[in-house]
Amino acid sequence: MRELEEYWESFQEELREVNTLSDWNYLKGKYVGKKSRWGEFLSELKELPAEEKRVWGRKINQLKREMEELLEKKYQELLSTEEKSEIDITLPGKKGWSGSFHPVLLTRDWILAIFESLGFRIEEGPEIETEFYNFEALNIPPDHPARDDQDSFYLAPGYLLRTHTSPAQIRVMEKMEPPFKVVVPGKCYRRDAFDATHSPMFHQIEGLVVAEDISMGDLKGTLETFVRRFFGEERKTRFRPGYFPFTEPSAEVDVSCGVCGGKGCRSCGYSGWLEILGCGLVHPQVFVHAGYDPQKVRGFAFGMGVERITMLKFGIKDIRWFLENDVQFLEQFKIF
Amino acid sequence: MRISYGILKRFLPDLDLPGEELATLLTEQGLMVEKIWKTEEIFPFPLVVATLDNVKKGILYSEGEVHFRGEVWNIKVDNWGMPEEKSKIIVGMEEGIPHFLPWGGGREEIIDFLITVPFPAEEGEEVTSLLLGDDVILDIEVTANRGDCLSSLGVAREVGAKLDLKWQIPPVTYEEADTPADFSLENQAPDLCPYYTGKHLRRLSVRPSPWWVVKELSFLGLRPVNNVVDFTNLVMMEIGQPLHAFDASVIKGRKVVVRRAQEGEKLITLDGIERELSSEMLVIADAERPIGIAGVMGGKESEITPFTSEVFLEAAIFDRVAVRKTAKALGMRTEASARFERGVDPEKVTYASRRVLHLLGKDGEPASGWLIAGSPPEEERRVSFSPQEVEKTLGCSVTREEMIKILTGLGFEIDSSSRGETIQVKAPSWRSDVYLPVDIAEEIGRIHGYDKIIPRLPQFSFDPGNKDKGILTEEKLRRHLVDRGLKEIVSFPLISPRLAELWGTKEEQIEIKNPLSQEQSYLRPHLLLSTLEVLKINATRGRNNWGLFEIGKVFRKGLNFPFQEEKRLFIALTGYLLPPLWQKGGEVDIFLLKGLIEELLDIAGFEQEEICFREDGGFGLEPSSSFRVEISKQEAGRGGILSSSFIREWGFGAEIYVAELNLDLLITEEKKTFQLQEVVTFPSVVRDISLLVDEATRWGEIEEIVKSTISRERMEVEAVEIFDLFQGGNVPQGKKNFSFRVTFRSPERTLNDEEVDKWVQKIKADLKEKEGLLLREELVSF
Ligand SMILES: [Zn+2]
Repeated sequence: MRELEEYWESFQEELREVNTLSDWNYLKGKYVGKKSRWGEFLSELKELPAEEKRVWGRKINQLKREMEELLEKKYQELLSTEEKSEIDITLPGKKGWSGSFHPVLLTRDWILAIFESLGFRIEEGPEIETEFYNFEALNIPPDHPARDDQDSFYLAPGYLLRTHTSPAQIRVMEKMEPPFKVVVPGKCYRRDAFDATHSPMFHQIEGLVVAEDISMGDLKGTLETFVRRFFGEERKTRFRPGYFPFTEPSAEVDVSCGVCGGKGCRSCGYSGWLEILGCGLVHPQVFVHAGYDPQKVRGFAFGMGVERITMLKFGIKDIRWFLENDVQFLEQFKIF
Repeated sequence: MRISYGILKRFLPDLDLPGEELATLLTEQGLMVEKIWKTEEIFPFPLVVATLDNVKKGILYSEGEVHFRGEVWNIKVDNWGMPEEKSKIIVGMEEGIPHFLPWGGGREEIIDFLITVPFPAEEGEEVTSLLLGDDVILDIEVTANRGDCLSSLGVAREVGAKLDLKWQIPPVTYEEADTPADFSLENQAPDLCPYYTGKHLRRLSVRPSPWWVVKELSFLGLRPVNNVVDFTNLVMMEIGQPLHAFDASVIKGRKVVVRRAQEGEKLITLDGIERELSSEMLVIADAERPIGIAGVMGGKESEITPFTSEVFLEAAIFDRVAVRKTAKALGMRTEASARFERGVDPEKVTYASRRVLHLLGKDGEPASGWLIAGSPPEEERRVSFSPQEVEKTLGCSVTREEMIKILTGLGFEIDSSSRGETIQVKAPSWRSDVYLPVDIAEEIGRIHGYDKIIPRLPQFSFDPGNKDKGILTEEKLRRHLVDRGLKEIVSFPLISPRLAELWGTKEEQIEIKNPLSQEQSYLRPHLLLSTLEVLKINATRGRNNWGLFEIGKVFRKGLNFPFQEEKRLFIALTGYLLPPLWQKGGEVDIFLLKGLIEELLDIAGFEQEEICFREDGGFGLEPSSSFRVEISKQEAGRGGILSSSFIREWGFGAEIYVAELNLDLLITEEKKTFQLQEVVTFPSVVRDISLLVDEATRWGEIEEIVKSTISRERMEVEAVEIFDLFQGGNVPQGKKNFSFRVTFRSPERTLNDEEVDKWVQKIKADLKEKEGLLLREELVSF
């Protein structure tokens, strides 16, 4: 314990020598920081008789507190004597504009990057389509009830704005030789009036995989991988039967609600699940329309609405904000 | 579509599964349950027993008193719907306010009918749970291919197949009179109506439906009307076969005709709206005029009223496409049309009628026999499939036995002679959507469970190749603009005719034939037109400093393909580039815009020599402050200050710099191949030259003279840069000063001052040739 006295004296001595903040920092580290000896003193304390233990214990605490007070006093002293600076560094820096990607396109790129890493090729298709590519080739003849869900904007008889990215399935099949894996992003248009969840223009990503041997298992594996990577490992995926004229069997994919973790809450309509995409195995008739032999190839296809996924990802409540493009909204979406 | 657990049990007596679990089961089987209703949500008020008293019958309606726990309410009820005095009636109580079931609450309103308590009860008693039971109602989303599931029976079959429960159809009994119908039936359009049946009922008692019917229809979201209408509706919800009851007394000529409408023929439908019909529509008519639109809605005149004494009950099959077209053309999608257009079960047509007769019981007397035209279409759909292929399709193993069990459960008949590789099945009459082996695979997969599919990643090798050049360039340009602080936008590509006209004639542009509104009836021919709205929103919200860009398509009528789309890049800048207002000089100007474009063209892979900026106007640009960009003499875009007319009209407070580039051109233009340049390490020599020129002289002219001298004399020059430009001060009127710097550097040796000075003299000599040019003889050397 004699060393305690020495320790205290050397501290006072060294404190007098301190003239700069860096000296001060060094001293602080030495006497009250990790390098200090207080731990050492406290452990020595244990070996003393009870009576002495109390006396020394009090002494240790008092000196330590005093050291801290003296250090603080010195710090204030140093601040006031610090040389006046040539610059006022509290003035704002010359920070440039902060750029941002549009949230929907940011999400699109993110999704595409995941599929690229799974070996998919990115393709594009036209926004103005013919009825053949948009409907007939996809097994949706005129007067098919499925056309009700995809009320379209017509430009001339037989020509319309594509209602989904699925016509790209046919275009890709015409252009490429199987086996292949492609994703096709793009704008789509439907005659839906604007409201919080509908917009006459929206973005989709279509996926198409064609090879000799493809099963629902390949589809499920691919999309589960996508969901895990995009939404996070903790999210669950549910495949349930669905219906699309151009796939058979068809499925809808749900992801467990991120807000309630699947227990059910307001954002998931108390179901615990959020619908994110539709998919299925390519219908044999679609292969025929694209000039493929359905006996020789199989394939799977999927399509997802990018706005919806963006809204889920970022908790955006109204689809119209995407087209409003208020810079205050936009600037939040930096590169992630 | 809603189904009630209670009704479901009528078809599936052994069903014993909590409502929540049933919902999960249905969803996982492809019948997505969107909402689970509790009975209290449909009848939101406690149901109590009240006593009816002092009933006075009037000509139009009856008046009466409703007594409840010492309170008395006076009510008016349609004569036919007023129960006997002293009846116990059901009232919904909302904190002291009575709702007289099934409809109505207002004091002055005349209520259609009151409903009596179906069991002995005391006035004042609360009987909610006794009346409603513990039913659960599921709201199901039925996909377009599953018309058979637009019924309780259909859903029961699905549940039965999954849970391995037997489903049943309630037996029906009714007594027919001896006399046959005094009606005739004629089907003039068997192509649109393969099968039509009619049953004639006499001595009809139209009355309010009993409580259980009112309750079930309310659960299913249908409005109770009277026993006849309610039973036809209930049976439709049960079986899926739409039915229609006509007041037989208004059918002229005692004749029912199924025919196409005459062009322009009119009919007032049940909803009270007069409909103009076309010759493509199928109608049910009498000897003179239409009395109903086949499969869509009946006519007002033949509606069942409390005074109806005889009924013509229709059950038929109408062509799906015809019903769909008619319903669409008339803009009326009904419960009936929704079922016909998805297809009804040809084998349940008359059962549905008979079930109505059964339910009506003594309230009507069926004439003997049926009026029938045609026969139920018999399309036998046999499908052969290989169990091995099904497993390959699904990606999981299912035994042959389970496949057979699933299909049998769904009503498929297995061909007993099926052996070995394939199984042949006959699809049930209600499953017109099944005709291919993949359809069978889906059925097996659905019931076996999609959760049992084993996930894997595709097992083949495919080289996706390099990224498409266009996609890659677009990516790079976007990333650069974001790095430079611009924000990416997505504007709405549909614009108003007024905006479209600003750009050019209507003939060149693409008009939407069926727009949602005039404001959105043209495809943008220029990105500026769709982005104006975005600029405006930001301007009005006081966002003053920004750079925005969009990559999107513009549309125009074309020569070969009738419509052309072209990818463009749009840029808009305004305000300060650097936010701190305390430092001056950060304002956006035209050279920032130009610089940005130069950077983009550089990233896109073009050499500086290929690029040329020329002063020129352009769409939406201020003519005196705008330019054209050329790449190898081809126009690649335009930019400048947004024209003052736009600024004024859109109410922008500040100058906005805009530019639009043709991205397709940037991508298709041939680019120079990369050539590595040696890094030069010899020192440079720098010379500054200042000169006075006529005001009208442009820097480009001076630069050209200097560069041509340099190349002619083979000078070793690294750069020619302008560093000062000014007018006024000591510069004479009509003149301006250019100062520029020439950096000399040789890749092979250190240059000496003498040779550099000689070169500078040559440059000056050539410059002096230019008219009106004066050298400022103050040379600075370093
Ligand atoms: Zn939730």
